Amino acid sequence: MQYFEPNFVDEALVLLDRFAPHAHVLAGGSLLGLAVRTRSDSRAIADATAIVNVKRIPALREISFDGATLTIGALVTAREASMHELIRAHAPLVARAASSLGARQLRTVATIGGNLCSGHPAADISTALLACDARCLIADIASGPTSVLAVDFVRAESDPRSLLTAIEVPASAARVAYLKMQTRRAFEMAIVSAAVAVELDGSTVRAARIALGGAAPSPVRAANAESWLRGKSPSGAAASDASRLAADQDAAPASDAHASAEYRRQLVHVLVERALHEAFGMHDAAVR
Amino acid sequence: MQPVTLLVNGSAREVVVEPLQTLLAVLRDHLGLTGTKEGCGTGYCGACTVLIDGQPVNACLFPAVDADRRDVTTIEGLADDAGMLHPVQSAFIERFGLQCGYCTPGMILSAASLLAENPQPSDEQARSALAGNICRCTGYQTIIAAVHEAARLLREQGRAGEAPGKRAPIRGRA
Amino acid sequence: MSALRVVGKQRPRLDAAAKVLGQTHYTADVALDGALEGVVKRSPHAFARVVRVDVTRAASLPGVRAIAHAGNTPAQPLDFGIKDQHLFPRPYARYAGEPVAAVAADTVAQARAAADAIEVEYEILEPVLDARRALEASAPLVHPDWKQYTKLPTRVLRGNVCGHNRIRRGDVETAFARPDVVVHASEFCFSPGLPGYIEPRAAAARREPDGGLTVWCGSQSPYENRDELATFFGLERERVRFINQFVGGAFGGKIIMAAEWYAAALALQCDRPVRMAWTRHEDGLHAFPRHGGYASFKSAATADGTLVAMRAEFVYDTGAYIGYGTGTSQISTMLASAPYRIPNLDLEATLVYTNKHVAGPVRAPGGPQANYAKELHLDELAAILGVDALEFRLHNAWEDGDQSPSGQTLSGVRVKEALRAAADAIGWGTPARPGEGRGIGCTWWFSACGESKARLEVRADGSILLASGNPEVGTGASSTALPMMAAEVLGVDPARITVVLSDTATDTYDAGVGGSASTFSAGTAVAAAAKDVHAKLLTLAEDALEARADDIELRDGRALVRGSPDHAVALAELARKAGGAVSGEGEAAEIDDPEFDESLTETHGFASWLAPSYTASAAHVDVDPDTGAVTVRKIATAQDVGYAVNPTGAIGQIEGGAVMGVGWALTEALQFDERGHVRPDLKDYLMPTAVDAPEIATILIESSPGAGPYGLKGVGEPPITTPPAAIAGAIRAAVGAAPHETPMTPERVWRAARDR
Repeated sequence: MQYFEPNFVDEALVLLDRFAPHAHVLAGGSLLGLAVRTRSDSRAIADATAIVNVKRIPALREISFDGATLTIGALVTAREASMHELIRAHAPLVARAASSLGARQLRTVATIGGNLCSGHPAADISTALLACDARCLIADIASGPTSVLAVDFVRAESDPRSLLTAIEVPASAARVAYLKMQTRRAFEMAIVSAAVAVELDGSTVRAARIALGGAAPSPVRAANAESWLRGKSPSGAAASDASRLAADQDAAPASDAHASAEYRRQLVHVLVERALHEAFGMHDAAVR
Repeated sequence: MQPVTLLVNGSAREVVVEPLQTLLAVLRDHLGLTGTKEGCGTGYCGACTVLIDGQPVNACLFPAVDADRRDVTTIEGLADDAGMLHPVQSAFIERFGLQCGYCTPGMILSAASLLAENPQPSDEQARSALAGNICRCTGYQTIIAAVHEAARLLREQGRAGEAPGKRAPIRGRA
Repeated sequence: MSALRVVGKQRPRLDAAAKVLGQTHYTADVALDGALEGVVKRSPHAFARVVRVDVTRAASLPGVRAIAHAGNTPAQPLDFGIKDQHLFPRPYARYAGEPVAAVAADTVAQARAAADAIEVEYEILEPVLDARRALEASAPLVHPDWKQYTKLPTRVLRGNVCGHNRIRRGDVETAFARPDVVVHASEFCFSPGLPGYIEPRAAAARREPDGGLTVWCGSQSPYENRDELATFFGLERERVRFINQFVGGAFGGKIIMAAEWYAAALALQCDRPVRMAWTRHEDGLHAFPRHGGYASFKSAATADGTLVAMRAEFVYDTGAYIGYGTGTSQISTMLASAPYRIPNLDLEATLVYTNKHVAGPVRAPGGPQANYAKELHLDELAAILGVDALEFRLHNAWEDGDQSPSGQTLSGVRVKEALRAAADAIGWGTPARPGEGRGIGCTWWFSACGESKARLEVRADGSILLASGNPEVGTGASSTALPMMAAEVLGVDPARITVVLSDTATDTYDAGVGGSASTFSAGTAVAAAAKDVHAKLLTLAEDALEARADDIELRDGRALVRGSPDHAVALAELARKAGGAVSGEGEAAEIDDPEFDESLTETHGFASWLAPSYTASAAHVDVDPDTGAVTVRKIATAQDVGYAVNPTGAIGQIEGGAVMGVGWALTEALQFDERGHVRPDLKDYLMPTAVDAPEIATILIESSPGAGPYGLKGVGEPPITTPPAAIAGAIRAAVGAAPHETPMTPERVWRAARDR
């Protein structure tokens, strides 16, 4: 196994291309290192011929705002995302989701890029990014840089030669809420989560973005609930009806060892309703 | 094999590590600092918590290469050079914040780093900050009492908000 | 009794300083020159016959120094009352994870590579993974050759049934048929759980030039382990030395040897020490979980809330081997109707083999299970009768002179006191908002006095040495309560006493930590040793001070004439006069269990409880009926401890047990997939975090002395027996129903509330 510490994105791309498909990006280390070490048999990782540690690439941790778009480097950690003034100001939903991720030790090292690449259906930051209409910036040595909606990024197989470099979040004045339901009260992947951003036009909903975690194979947008909410006035009844739509039509949950599909639908209904209440400014709606 | 300079408890230690070798393995096996414990190896118990530039991380997941020229604080680095316990350590003794002691090094470092950022945490803030450190023995109530006592001691000694551990004179990279 | 100066007072633990400094050595911290690394190879099948083990290729790999397997280790079975188990399969591997071989090599990577290279041919068999399924006539036999097994005559063994006991009095069927009673029935299901100690298991072993063996480990019972290991490998007991390290939590999961076996088997084959430090995952593959299983309850009461009959039946999944599984089934029938006065009883428990991990004596075996089921069942009955849950319990609770289910006459009963104290502390009777509830549960438990020895030595250099066989597993019983007791008698500061724990070379046998026995047994031995030394010091002081023993007292490290503080001599000086040291020994012998009526029991084995204690817990919860989320706000536990020699330790056990109970009740489930593979990792096995832990109120009841030193009773297990019951009752009070299956996850609570 070979190990590299490139200092530039292009360097990293060359390496990923050269060793594809057996090159792995090392970011926070909470996922890759784990996968390498917790194999229950002891076969050498024949298939990991190159580890590319991208943490020496300063460009990947930059955070900037140009008035319309917030750009967050893929290596920005959950801790940084929860505290950085630009992210708190222009992507508060991301800051909230980041502060609920795992525990302090994980937040110190877990990166936004790692969260998006994890493929977990309830990844906190990913779910929040979907509700921000975020775009993933991807560098690829063959095809040049591309930009993909986060909602599409999380459900597609990514090309092992490409590198997620940054996430773009359009600025908005939306009112936001992030709720997650766990078995215990902390330090756990969500069973189901709801990230909500609502833009109000006077007393009607101009746009609503509702992202669901744990309700499908990847985080998804509740498109039916969103389009129903457009033009409605922000009320308890609207929240109730929209959340019913989200549960019945937008969620596609599976039953697994953690929870049944029926219960996940119930959680979608409850969490979306409460998150909408919060975004509408109706009252503080904690899950517990 | 990668050469790495670890600034452990204020001293520079040169080691040669494998790329995915964890900081936990390097601390315990190369440097003989066995105060940091392995409880699960997967980042789910916090027994291996150490501080990197004052921030808590699970050493079992942290690649040692990423600690190059950064301040690493382990439990061995909290007491001062004369052997005086850090107020968090004293508080854990006086307020009965431990039983078997296996989670204790990680718990103490987590608490110390919390108090550096938040010198007077509420119960809720303290519990939330320690959520990543699992204790099976105490039920946590005496641990939270120890955190509050440590906060009081630090204030009393004029050390509220002080970063725990020793800093190396030469550190950091861009 | 004159005022106590040390015992009975809260004080920091004597091992705390080393622990907060990170200096305490646990087994994985022990450094041994030239140590090899040992790795275990495990069966991937829930049930298989091992046809062939071929180590040829593995033995030729670089760095490999020893390989242990059925072909080169002793063939005799391990003996846990039924000889149903071997060190390596002969020829059956009965759970996914069962060790089939072990390798020692220069590095872990080399050992793992060699383990992978060991070729094992398995004939895969159909496993049985559920206890009720295992009782069916068509179920596979976990032990096809059970008829050939040797066992104690008191043990039950029949196909997949490896334990059975029953307690009966009166006539339940006639009572159920009475026209003036209300009858209620409930069914329950418990998930298996883990002890959850934070320190995974580890051991190291080294063959000694004299043909002996040294083993480093973190065990609850190193003397018992030493004896068993020596016998198995045909070594002289005196040549086998177990040096126990500090233990990072045990909770019943570190009584049976695990890594010790394989480290020893490998070390006996080579000339270098063999070290084996398991990861959490591997520890989980070899876990001794808390029993899962089923319970059925049916009881009858008259309209005024008087219980007249109860039938309870438990079926416990004990896994692939009997181990120490019988305790759970025996204790469950002793708990099922307790602590209530019920004239007609039929209480039965069956222990069943399955192809899963060997269930073990995890803290209070059967305690949380039986009490959760019984108390929730009785809450439901009380609700049908329209009687308040607390009043129902007070009305039926034992009093002095009542009999246990098996006919043991009870005295010093503190059930009502415990109930009232817990209820008060939780604010019982406060009007509740929707979704808010309070619950309460009570029980009894036993103390245990096993064999234990201690030696105490006052030396001329001023040091005082205390050797006890009782290991320090975290409770503080050994590291702190024992020196407190010695210090009380010698009149010194306990911090002056150096404690040498659990090194079999000190020849201070101790039966081990477990079954609420430590401070009781080891404390009795220490008290006796201290008394012995005290008498010897007084004799020497008589001479030195030219005074009579009656006029001499020991205080502040000196012997002095009462009333003349200057007329004194230091203890160290007395030791010098005695030739260098004054030492004494003490022993705790097993105490006979109280009398009971054996005719009421069938193949029971544990139907009489020594120095019983009484415990009640109350819980205050908020439940969100739409999500099933349960927030435990507070738990109050009132425990009859006899006398708290080390109050800090007693409170620590109660607070820790409350949170362990929260975990068992709400979030902890040891899951197996459909092929019997366990998922023991901490991302799946959810123990309470600091955020999950409630406020805990502790009430120590010290008005009913037990038979232990200073009147103490066993303390370690009762704290987990009642909180889950109280939480279940509180959930029921909050949303009208509580799940009949543990853990009571949010989804289960949501369904119970929705479907009531």
